[in-house]
Amino acid sequence: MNDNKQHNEDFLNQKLGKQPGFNMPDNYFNDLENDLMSKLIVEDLPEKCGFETPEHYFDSLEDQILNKINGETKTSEPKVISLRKRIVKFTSFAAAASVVLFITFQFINIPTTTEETNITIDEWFENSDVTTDELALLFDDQDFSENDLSYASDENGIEDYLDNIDNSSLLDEIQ
Amino acid sequence: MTDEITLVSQLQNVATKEAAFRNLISQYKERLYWHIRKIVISHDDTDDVLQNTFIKIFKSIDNFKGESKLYSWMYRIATNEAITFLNKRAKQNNVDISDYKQLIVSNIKSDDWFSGDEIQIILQKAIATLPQKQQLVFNMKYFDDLKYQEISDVLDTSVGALKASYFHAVKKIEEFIKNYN
Repeated sequence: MNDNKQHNEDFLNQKLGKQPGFNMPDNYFNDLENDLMSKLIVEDLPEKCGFETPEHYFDSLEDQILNKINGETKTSEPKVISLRKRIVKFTSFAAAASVVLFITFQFINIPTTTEETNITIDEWFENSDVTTDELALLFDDQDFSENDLSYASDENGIEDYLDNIDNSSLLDEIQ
Repeated sequence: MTDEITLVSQLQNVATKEAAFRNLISQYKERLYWHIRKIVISHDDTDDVLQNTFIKIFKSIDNFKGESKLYSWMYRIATNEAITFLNKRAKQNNVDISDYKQLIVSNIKSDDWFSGDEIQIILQKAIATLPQKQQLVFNMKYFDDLKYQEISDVLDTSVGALKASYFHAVKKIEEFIKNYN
């Protein structure tokens, strides 16, 4: 009897190798403690979160969402624009603009920016109460270098200077 | 309940799309509502986010390739919409998303659509202190009773990491409640 039993066990061991064939997820035993602890802790927590919804809120949700989608689809439908009409409109606009530009360049003398600036400064200087002394104060000695008078270093230079200078100012000085 | 594959093919067919979509909303509206509600807290905000979620699902259903389950794809869209919504609101209030969440939870008692008692208020306050991912894991596991594998499909995180995340969340909540006075 005992021999028979031993024989059967040996046979099973040979076939199955003492493996029951069950399996488990990786790290099952590593996670077990944490899983159990989590379960114990949450037992004391309330099961419901306490949030509510208005009565019948869910009843009309399908219609609301589908209406929104259909509304969006309608407004996002592209308008059909006539290309011919657009071309005619653009051509007439372009022609009108060309005529206006042509007339402007041919008959109107537009002053340049520099000219405008000079005129403005001259007008301001003439109409303002700024004296020459006040203007002189704006320049310091460094603004006039000796090089400005270098033309006077030889006789020809002095002659040129005297030829070109406004005599009236010299006469004013003598008086 | 219509078989998921059939439903998806109906949703991707122009002739049957609208009727199938109505069916889809009926099947998932409550589950997605409660998922979003626990993230954004207020009913009105949840309503906005839920409708936007379904509109997004309607618009992108043609791109759904069936690589994940339909429910996890929709949960993912709902989660993204809800978090994007919270981020926008936080920005408008010049605070970060965590501070904003704590701010809205601190006013939860005056919410017309909240009927929770003291311990439920404390629990919401405790959840609001968790990092965003732990909040999601805790809500999906504890309140929605989803399996880790299902949460893993939605959040694209391994089951092991989710278990650790849930454990940390639960411990922090326990600590918060113990120290709450």
